[in-house]
Amino acid sequence: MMEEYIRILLEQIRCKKSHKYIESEIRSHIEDQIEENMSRGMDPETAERMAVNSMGDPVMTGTELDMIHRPQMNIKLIVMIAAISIIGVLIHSLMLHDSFLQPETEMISGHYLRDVIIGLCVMTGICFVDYSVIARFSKLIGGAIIALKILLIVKSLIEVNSAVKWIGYGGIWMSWLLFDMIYIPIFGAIVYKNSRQGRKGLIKSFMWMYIPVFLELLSANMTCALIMLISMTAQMYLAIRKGWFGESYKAAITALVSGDVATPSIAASVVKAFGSVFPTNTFNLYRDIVAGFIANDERNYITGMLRTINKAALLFGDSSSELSNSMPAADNQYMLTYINCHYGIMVGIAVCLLIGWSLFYMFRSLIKQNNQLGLIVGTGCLMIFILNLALNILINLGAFPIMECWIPFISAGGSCIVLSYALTGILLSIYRYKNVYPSDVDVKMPKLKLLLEQ
Amino acid sequence: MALDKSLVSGSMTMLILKLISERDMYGYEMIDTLRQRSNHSFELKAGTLYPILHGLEEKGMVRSYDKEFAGKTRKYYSITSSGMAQLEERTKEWKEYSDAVRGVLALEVSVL
Repeated sequence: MMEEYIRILLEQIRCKKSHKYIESEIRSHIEDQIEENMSRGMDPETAERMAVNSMGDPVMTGTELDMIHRPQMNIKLIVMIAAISIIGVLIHSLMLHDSFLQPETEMISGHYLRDVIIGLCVMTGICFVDYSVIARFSKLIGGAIIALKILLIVKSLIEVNSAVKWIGYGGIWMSWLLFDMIYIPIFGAIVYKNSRQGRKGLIKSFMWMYIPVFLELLSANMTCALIMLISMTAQMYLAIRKGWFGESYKAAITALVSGDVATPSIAASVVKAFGSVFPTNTFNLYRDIVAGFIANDERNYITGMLRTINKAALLFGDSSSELSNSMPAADNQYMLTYINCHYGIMVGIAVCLLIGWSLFYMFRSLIKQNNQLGLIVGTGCLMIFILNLALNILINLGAFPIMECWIPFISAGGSCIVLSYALTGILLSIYRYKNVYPSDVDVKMPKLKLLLEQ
Repeated sequence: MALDKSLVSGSMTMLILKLISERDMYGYEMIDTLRQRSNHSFELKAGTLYPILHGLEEKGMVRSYDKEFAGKTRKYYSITSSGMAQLEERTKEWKEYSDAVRGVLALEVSVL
């Protein structure tokens, strides 16, 4: 009787992914009712029949639940991303017809449309792939990224001029940035997997957090290290606040802050002692970055130049062709200065506001999320966007030393574009399944034997 | 006492929100509490309760989480701030409506 009721009810719900969670709740309810009926002196069969009768019509209930538990598309966000993509294509098309154009800009902007199309395909693909399925393999993916990073560092110790920031084979090369940034949402899923394990889960999560940051610092990949550290700190803070590790709040936060301070300190000490061993001389790279913070240092001339160009920019329209000649290549980092200089400050502000508005909308959609896995994974994606946009604006205004960061969707370069769309794909997937999954979702990795049987 | 179904269904959302505003509850517990508090007047069917609960969760008025109780994992529901606001609004509407009905009934009695 009970099995028949559940079968008919689930038949009405088209989204199969939600069946497991609905079934568990309904089954638990019927079992409670059977227990109650039996405690009143009914025999098991009568108790079950009465319990099922008290549930009501399975077809009607199933139909109503089907209306709720459906995958949903975040149309508003898709429209926003489409508008930003059109603006990006427009800006890069105009850049291609610019007389100031430098060969490297031509190379990057010339591929912008192609990269956007690839990005849109990646976004659509990820959106339709259930993010909780990716989360099941998060430790495997995260472990592979860390292992690959260690291999790259070892390779750079052995080979002279070995690329530590690029990975690829043959004609296809990808920026390591792509792997670093994708690690952040993957880390969110790992933290979720470690939740409810108490202190053990907390320590494991810290290991998954600080090891990749330490490796990035060791290879002087400062921007990625900074973005990873801040984003993962935000994710850990969220997890601790929600009591995922059951630790005392103060102790866990103290451990988090201590780790945030200790990791860069240890990395800096290691680099100071052994940095010159690296063919790229990590120590020198560190010294240059520190010099970037000293205003009058000669290595800081780009920051000064950006300040001068932005000061001379008009509210609307092209400010000066003379200045644009002295401008660094309008690639990833300096897109905003290029826009300010050639189309006016107001256009630059409008572009930033549009992206900022989209990020704010993403944030609003995310905090309404009941699913805890979606919340922590989405927080990681959003942090990457916010930090890159904020750092990029500060750098272009000459208020921050030069670092490699990009304006989401607008800055050219295949890896940045694909990454922007991939992260949006994850956020769309989280929204898509928000009514399909309950707050706690099963992310256990399927056993190998089970996979082979399938 | 069995009440007219339409009279109950309209206010069911308010009653459910009221229950979980006091403490977090799971589905069966809600039906049981409602039955006891209404002196067996509200015999809410589970088939009616769960679509309402899941709908409230979709609208962000309640949140759910799994918690173990008496050896079984149960899905608990808690009210959110927007759920509290909705409860206040519905309660206010209900009071206005019931005052109006009471007023009309009192008028009838005085006329008689």
